[in-house]
Amino acid sequence: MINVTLKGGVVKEFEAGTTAMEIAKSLGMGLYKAACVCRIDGAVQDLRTPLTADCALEILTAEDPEGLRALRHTASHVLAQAVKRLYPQTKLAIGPAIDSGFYYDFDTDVAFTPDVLDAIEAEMKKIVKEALPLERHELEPADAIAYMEEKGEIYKVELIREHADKGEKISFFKQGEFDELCAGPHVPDTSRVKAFKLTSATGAYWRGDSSKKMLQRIYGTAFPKKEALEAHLAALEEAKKRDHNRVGRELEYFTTVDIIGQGLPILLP
Amino acid sequence: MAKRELYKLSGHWDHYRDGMFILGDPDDEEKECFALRPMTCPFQYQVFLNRARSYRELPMRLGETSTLFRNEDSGEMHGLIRVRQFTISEGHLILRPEQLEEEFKGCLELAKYCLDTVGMLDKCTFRFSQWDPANPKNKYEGTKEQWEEAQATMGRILDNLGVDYKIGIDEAAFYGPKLDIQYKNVYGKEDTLVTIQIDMLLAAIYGMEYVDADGQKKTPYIIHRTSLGCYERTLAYLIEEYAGALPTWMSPEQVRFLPVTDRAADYCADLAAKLTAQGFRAEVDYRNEKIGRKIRDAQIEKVPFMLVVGDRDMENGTVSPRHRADGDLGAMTFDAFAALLKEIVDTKAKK
Repeated sequence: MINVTLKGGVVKEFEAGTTAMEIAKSLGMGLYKAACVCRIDGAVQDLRTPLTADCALEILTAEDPEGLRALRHTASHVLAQAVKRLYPQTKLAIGPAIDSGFYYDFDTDVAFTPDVLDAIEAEMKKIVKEALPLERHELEPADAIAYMEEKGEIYKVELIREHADKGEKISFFKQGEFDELCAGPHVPDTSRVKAFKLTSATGAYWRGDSSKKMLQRIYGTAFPKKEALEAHLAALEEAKKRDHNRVGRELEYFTTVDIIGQGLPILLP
Repeated sequence: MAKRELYKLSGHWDHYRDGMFILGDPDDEEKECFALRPMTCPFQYQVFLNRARSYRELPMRLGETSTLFRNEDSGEMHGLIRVRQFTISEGHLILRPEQLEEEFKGCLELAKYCLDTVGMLDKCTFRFSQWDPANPKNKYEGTKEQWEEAQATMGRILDNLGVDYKIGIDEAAFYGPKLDIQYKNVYGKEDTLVTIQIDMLLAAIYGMEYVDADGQKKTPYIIHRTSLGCYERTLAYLIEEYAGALPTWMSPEQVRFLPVTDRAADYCADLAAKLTAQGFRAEVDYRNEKIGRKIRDAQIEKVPFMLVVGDRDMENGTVSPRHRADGDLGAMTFDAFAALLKEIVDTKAKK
C-alpha cells in the first residue's frame, strides 16, 4: 500500500500501481470527467501513470494551464492522425500546444484549402468519437529510429537522432492505429477533445530555417467545453475586425508591394 | 550605413550579425564591407566624439528620427509590427553618473506623455529587462559586477518612480538592462513599443570621455531611449486601438464635404479651402455619385466629420456636420464648425 497526499493535505491509502486516473475516479465522477493530467510530486504526467511509492498527487483539469496545454497537445495528435488517415503519404513534423491552441506541421503536396480543413475536422470528430485511449510506450533509440524509418517519417527520425545520445529511451503515445513520437503528457483518451476548431493554414520552414523545406502548418484551438470555444472564436472574429494588417490596408494607411519585398511597407499619405 | 569596422567595435558584428543587411563579403578582410545600420547609437556617438567635452556639457541629449534596417526572418514579418526597415524617433543621452536617475525619469515622463497623448498608455505594461546570469556569454558584454550594478541602479530608479513592472530575464540589450514598455496586438501577441536603456559599458568602448570638475577624464553613462517608438509599429497599434478610426487630430482626412448636387460643389470647394488655410485636412467628394453612396463611403473610410451640403445649406450659409461616432450635430455656421473642429484638434480629443 502507498500513501498518497492529495489536495488540501488529505492523505489516502491506495494499492501500489493504482493510476492517477483511478484515484481521480474514486474521488468523484465530476473530477474524473474533467481531469486532463496530474502532478506527481511536482512533475506533470499523464493520468495513466501508475503510482508506485508514497507521493503527492494533484489532479489537473483544463482550468489549470498545464491541463489545458495537455488537452491542446492531444488535439494536435488527433489532427495529425486525421491527416494521416486522409492523406497517408503525408510526412509528419512537429505539433505542439501553443499559447492559444496548437498547430501541426506537415510535409505534403496537398493544399490545405478551407474545404480540405473541413474534411480534416470531420475526421478529427470521428477520432474523438472513437474515444481512443492514449497509451505511452518506450523504445530504445535504435529501435525507435528503425520504427520511424519503416513508416517513412524522416522528420521524426531526425528528431530521435538528436535525442539518441542522451542515453534515454524514446517515448511514444499510441492512439488506435496512430503512434506518435512524444514526451507527453496527454489526456487519457481522444474523447476529451470535445471542443476544437481548425483556424488557419500557413507555410512554415522546418526548424524555422529558410534553407530547409517549406512545410504546411495547420493551426487550431481547443477548449474543454463548447461554450469556451465559441466565446474564443467570437473574440477572434472581433480581433480580425481590428487587425491593423487588414484595417490599415483597407483604409489605405499603408500597403506592401511584392516587388519591393516582404516587411517593407509603404506608408500612404 | 557604415563599414564593418564600426560594427566590430560596437559589438553588433559579434552579437547581431545575422540581423544585419551586409553589403559586400563579410569575411573578405581585403575588401571594404558595409552594413545598413540596425541601431543608431554608434552614429550619434560620433557627435559627442567630435570635440573634447567638459562635464558642463552633460547631459548631452542627442535626438534623431532615424531609419534602421534589421534582417528579420521572413516568417516573422507581420504588417507594420515587424518589418525590415523602420523609422524611429529616438535619442541617446550622454551623462555624468549622478545624472542618471534624473534623466531616466525625464525619458520615462516623455514616453508616458507621448503614449498618453495618442491614447495608448492605459494598455501598456512595463518590463524590467535583465540579463541572464546563467548564460552571460550568450549575448552579453561586460562583467557580472557591471551588470549587477547597472541592474541594481535601474531597479532603484524604477522603484523610486513607482513603476509597476514585471521582470524579464534574458531580455536585456547586449550592453545593459532596459525598461521595455510593452503592448499587445489584437491577437494578444506582445512586443516592445518603447524602450529606455541604461548603458554603463559602451562609452568606454568608443573612447567617449569628458573632463570632470576635478580636471580628471571620466567615462560617461548613456541612456538609449525612444519617445513614441517607431512610426510603423506605433501606427499599427493605433490602428488596432481605434479600429482604424484615428482621433481627428491625427486622422489623415479630418473633414469631407459631400455636395448633394453639382450646384453645391463650388460652395464646398470654398469652405474646404478655408479649412485647409486654417491648417485642417479637408477634402471634397466631387464624384458624380448619389449622396447615399458618398455618405456610405465616408463612413466606411472612417472620416471623422462629414458635411453633407445641399441647397438649403447654401441658401442659409450654414453647414450640417455629422461626426462618425456622435452623429448629427445639427446646422451651424461655418465659423462655428471651424471653431468646434479647432477645439477638438487642439485638445487632441479622442474622437
